[in-house]
Amino acid sequence: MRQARNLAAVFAVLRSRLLLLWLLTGLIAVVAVTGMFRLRFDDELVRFFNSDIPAYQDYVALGRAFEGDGNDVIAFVEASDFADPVVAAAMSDFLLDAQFIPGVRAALSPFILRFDGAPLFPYPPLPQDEMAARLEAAQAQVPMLGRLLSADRQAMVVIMPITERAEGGQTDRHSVLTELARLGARAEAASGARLQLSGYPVLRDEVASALIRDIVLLNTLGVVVGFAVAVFALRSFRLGLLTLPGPALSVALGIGLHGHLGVTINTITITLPVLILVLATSDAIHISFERGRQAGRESALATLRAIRRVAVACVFAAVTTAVAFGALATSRSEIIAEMGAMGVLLTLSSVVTVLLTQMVVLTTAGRADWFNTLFKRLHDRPPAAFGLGRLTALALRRPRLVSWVALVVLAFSTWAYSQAGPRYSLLDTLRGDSPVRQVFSQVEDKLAPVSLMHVVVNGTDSALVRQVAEVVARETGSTNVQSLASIEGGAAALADTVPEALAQRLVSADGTQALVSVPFRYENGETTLALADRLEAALAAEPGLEPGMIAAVTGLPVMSARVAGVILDEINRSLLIALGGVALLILAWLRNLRVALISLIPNMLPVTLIGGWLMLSGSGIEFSNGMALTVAFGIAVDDTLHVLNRLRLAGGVRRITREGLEEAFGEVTPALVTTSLVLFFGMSGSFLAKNLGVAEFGGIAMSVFVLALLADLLVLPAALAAFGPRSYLRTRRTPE
Amino acid sequence: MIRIALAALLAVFAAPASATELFEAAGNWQGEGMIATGPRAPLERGRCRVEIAPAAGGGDVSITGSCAVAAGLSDISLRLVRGAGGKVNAGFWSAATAQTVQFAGTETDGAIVMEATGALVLDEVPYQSRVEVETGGAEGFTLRQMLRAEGEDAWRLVVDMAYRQAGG
Repeated sequence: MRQARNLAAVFAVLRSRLLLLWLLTGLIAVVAVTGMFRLRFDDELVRFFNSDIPAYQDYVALGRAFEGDGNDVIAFVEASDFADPVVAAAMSDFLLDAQFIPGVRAALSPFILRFDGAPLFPYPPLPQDEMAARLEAAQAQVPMLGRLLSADRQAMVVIMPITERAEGGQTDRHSVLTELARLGARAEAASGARLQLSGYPVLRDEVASALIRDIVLLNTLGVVVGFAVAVFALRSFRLGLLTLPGPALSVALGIGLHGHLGVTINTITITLPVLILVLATSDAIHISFERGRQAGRESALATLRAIRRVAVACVFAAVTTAVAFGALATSRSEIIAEMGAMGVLLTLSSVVTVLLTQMVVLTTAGRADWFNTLFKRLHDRPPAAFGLGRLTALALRRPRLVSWVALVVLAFSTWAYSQAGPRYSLLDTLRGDSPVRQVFSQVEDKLAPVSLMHVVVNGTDSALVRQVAEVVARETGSTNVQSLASIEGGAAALADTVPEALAQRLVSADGTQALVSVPFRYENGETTLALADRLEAALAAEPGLEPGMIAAVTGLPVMSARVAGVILDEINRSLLIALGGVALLILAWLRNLRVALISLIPNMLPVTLIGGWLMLSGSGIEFSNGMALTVAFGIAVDDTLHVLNRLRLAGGVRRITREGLEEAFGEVTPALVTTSLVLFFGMSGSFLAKNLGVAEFGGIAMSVFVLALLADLLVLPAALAAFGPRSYLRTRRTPE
Repeated sequence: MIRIALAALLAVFAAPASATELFEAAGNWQGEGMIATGPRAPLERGRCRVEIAPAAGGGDVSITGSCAVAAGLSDISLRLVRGAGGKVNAGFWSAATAQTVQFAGTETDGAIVMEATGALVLDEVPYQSRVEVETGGAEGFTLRQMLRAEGEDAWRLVVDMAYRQAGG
């Protein structure tokens, strides 16, 4: 009777608290939804390098003093022959009309050039043979023509700097590009030419639309896959549905917090919501499995007990993931540090949200008859581990062998990983079929290199600038060095002889500096830096060029390569910080140094194996895979923590027994397999992302998840048996 | 500013149809023809787009727009005032030259002939300027503009453009 009264009192408390918990859940939903309406997307690619690194500061100073190429729309036009009067007239129409589009500042093309005291392209157009001869003669005498028109007269480049307003820039840029495309289509129809738009504004426009598309795709696929795996593992559509609310609210809150905090979604942070989603789905599935184990108890109490038993591991898993993100937050790259900080916030808020939401949902649903029946069925027929339990059986048959092999592999892969150098290429962010990348390649194949290296000269004296330009031409072997030296009359005549948009690329706004620019064929960061270093050395050794006359050798390729080297080193350091942090956390949790160190083995292995493979394959450590290794490490620790939690609940951490290991792994393996499936397939949408970096991030993360599962089922039990505290193996060997 | 500035200033005269039409016709006009980007530069292909906004009563009209050649584009603004006895006065401003030039002339049988009342100074050289507008039937009009340095006898053609209603 007394017990019944106590139970009634417990139910009363639960009911009143449930209402409060629903209110709290509703409040989170309000925060999430209102934040979503404030969400902004950031397509600014250069912000990736925003840091206090000197190379970036040089680049910023260049942008302040001179007009850059960051707002240049490049039209690549192919035609049968630009000497053909029909083609020439259509191009002339395009060039004139393009300038009337609000936001287009100029149209730099062969049509602006003069030859023999007249426009290179006279109007009305000359007969084709006559024009062909004129262009052939001009190719030899007008150096700039070689960069704008191919020698066979079948390819032309038009450079159109555009203005993007700070507010609503995306919309303005998009309308400019749309109008240019419309004019291009008209020119194509009139002449049979083919006109393609490229350049950084086009790239940013692609990125902007891809970000919106990708975030919807990644998270929708993540939800669908998580739900499908849950239905399959729990063998119930309704139980599968019950795993959805927590993850859905977690990811909504994650996106909403971006909006409330004014943090934009960009090419780096776009993976964050889906990571939160798969983590939260894993937690929800762990809760459901544990709820199944509590099937014999009263429904509300069983849910409460299941949440309590799983919560510790879920929170610790979130904290280890937060540690990995926190390590990234120390980066000097503004955008990576921002992702790290948001990662910390989102993983911690997510675990609270998913525990709370699943608590109220399962408790409320628990009032229905079907609920307990389904969980009882789950309890009677535990989920399948797809035969992966055999890995643990194998490990426990040969624990020492498995452990030592794992340690040898770990040592070798760690060495290989340490040899993997940083690697960066601007083009790596673009897929091979990206129109922007294809146009860049075509321009470089048929005309001249597109990428520019700049030398900032502290002075505008023609002789000084000419001397620098000659050194640059000599060292790069380029005949297309662009500077004030090629302008008759020097700086004084600049305003009257070249369009303003071009003049501002030769002399600084304050008139105190000149720019010498050389186009070069961009391959990757390494070759770019080698060329920049060679150029700097040659300028330093040039007689007559006093120290201080040259401000910097810079430009987007040079800056990005230099900054990337520093940041990639930081990312690797972040991984070490994350490793140390996770070991300390496990030590603090279980208060057992031996277990903390053992737990690192299965979690380091996936990272070092992939890192080693990146070295052996020659891929090197790039931004996407470097960050993925760090973040995925933090997530992969999740499996280990659930194993250790199960061992801890059974009281088996301080004394490792074979039975304890078998029982713990037997209970937790189905959940690990299921959650790994969620992590793996949940991230698979990244392969469909338009941004190549997202795809690579996803690919590396998925590989880590698979290897982490295998290591947790094979290496972890073997290492615990071989090296664990008071292990049955060592006890058996030691005489009493 | 490069010399396209001059072209923009000059080409703005292309805006009116005949004066009679100009002071009544609101709307967008597009000019197609040749422009010289400087007093000594060769003629090259150019295009103008202007919006005509007559004031109520038809006494004056404001015209804003831009003119482009391959090397660049410049914004322009002008105001024309019809006086008694076929007199027409005009004030023109160009962002490129930052000069306002006054013109005065007459309107006869749908044709306008105006000359600048002051010099147009380009590269420190003063130039006289003359504008001739002729109606080209219902579809539009043509404009010819000439310059000559002080002391020169011959006018040099710097704008030769045919206008039609945009979209027509």
